[in-house]
Amino acid sequence: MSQLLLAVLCFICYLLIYYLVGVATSKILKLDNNLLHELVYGMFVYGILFFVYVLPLKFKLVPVSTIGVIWALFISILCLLIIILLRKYIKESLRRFLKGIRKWKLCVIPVALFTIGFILFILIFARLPFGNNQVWFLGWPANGVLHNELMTYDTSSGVALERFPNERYLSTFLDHSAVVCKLTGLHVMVEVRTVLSAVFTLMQVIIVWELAKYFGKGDQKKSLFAFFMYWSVRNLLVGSQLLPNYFSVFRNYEGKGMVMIVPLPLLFLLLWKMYDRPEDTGYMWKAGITLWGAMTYSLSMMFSAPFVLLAFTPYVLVKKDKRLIRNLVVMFFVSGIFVVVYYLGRKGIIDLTIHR
Amino acid sequence: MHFDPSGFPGDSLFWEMLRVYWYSFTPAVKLVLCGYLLVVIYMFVKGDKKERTFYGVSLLVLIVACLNPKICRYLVDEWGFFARYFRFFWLVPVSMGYTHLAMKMYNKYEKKGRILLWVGVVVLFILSCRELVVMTGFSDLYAGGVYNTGMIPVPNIYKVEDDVIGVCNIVEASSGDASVVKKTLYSREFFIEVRTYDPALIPVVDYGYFSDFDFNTCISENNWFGIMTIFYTGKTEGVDASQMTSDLLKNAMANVDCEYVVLPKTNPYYDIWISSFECLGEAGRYTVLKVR
Repeated sequence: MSQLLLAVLCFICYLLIYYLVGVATSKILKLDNNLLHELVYGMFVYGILFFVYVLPLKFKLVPVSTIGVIWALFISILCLLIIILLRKYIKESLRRFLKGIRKWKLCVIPVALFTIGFILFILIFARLPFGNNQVWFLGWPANGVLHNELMTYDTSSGVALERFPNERYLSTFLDHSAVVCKLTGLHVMVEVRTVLSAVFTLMQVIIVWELAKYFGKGDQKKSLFAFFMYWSVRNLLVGSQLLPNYFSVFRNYEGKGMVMIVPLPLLFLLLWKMYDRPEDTGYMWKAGITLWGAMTYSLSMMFSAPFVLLAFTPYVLVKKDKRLIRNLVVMFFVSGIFVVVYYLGRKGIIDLTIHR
Repeated sequence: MHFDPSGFPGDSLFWEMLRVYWYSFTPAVKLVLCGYLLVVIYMFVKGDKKERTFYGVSLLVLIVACLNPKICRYLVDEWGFFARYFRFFWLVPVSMGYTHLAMKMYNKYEKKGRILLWVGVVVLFILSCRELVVMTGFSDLYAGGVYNTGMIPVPNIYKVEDDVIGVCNIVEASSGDASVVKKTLYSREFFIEVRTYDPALIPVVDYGYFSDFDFNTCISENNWFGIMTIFYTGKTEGVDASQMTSDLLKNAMANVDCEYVVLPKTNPYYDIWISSFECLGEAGRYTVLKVR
């Protein structure tokens, strides 16, 4: 029971922190003061902040408990400052959200019911798939909590590693799970498979809703139609482990599953919006945040982002707008950094040796 | 998806991958993916500049950039993307394409047409939910430690078998220190869940995959690991039953780095195991033994 209670608290805390970080981001970068957007981009910015913080400490083998205490203090102070300094902005965001609910009342109930039903379905019925992947993936935070070090033990054999795994060490959200579990006593399986699963499901519903709203062009019936059309196709495609739709249900807590169901559709949506309003620099920031933030979840984003950007280069070029090309260059730059870092690690140029 | 790529030189690897992917799809997936090609063609022919480039040209660029035999070979050899190559297909916006097409139709039609479209989407949604339920409860693809036999709720908040939790509790109670690793002998089935639930129980046998050992060779060469494996896997073929004694087992375990054994109750040598080591307790299908 205490684990369940902790899980609920953790879920609420995550959303609250994402929202507050998102509020600060939207204020600083002059993005739209929209609660749902702030939740999504706040999650990515939070991931980036943790990435910057934890990476050097991980290499120095600082104990997880120490990393956790410092991080908790930092985040608490940050959130407090955001609440104090941006209280009017937050109030405005909440007011707009409530107004939006009243305005979109035809959609709110079916979408909310679907969201709750979908989350409960996943949490109650989606059991652990049979395969090494689960050990490989969930084993990182589990071993982090056990050994009080991040990514230094092989997840399957339990043997101490000599090098950080190149394809994994940049995915710092796994480290975040270890830190949270070490700090709160929440079991890794609960944090990842219940809390993160629920958070990522909620995020993907938000993205699909945003897509639906875009296609619906502000019309409630059209948006609702688009929302259920999208989910219908997505659910029809769950029957293959090779498609992201499968991951959206059964393994959405995994980095690759998460990046394919949250940031990738978001990137598609941003490309559409950019095309319509190239003068809005906010989309450039949003795309940059999405790309970098997603990299901290899975390197799947690292190798897929350049190809996505390449594929949609003609789409940007046909608009013949320099501002769109600038946005594309920024996106290529962000994703390119990770490709280079991965390649250097693979070639041994970046030293990933664990110095005990 | 995980086949041996070494037997497929050059371009053949790409085609073999496509073949393996295709056979892993359910009929619904095949139908939707084939239908998407029609969506792309429609967008290419009937769509405006934006739609043509977003769905049509981008797909062509993706094919040239990564979804072709030459680049596939390069990405697998140079970047080690063999097991990850299928993720490049995820970059095609299938759900978005269908939704966009449906919206175009919705905008095109008046009241009656829209009602029909709503009926269509409701039916599609129900069918898709059915697909979700079938895949969750009745397909081996998504089976956990226990194979799927219907819509069974997860047994606990940890989403691992109760037996696994029971075994871990017994071992941890015996050890007295949950932060110390314990070399434990367990099966493949147990391995998957225990390594995520309690990583302190590190496996004696990597991945829980046991090799096949010849009994006589093991005896003549004093291959204690092999003898332990024969006892644990319950191999009876080619085994002289009269030599399968408690002393032999004790000797074998004394020469193997192992502290605990998670023994399935169905093991043919169950009685020998029980009489040889201290029994710490039972958890569902397993009995937990302390070796040292």
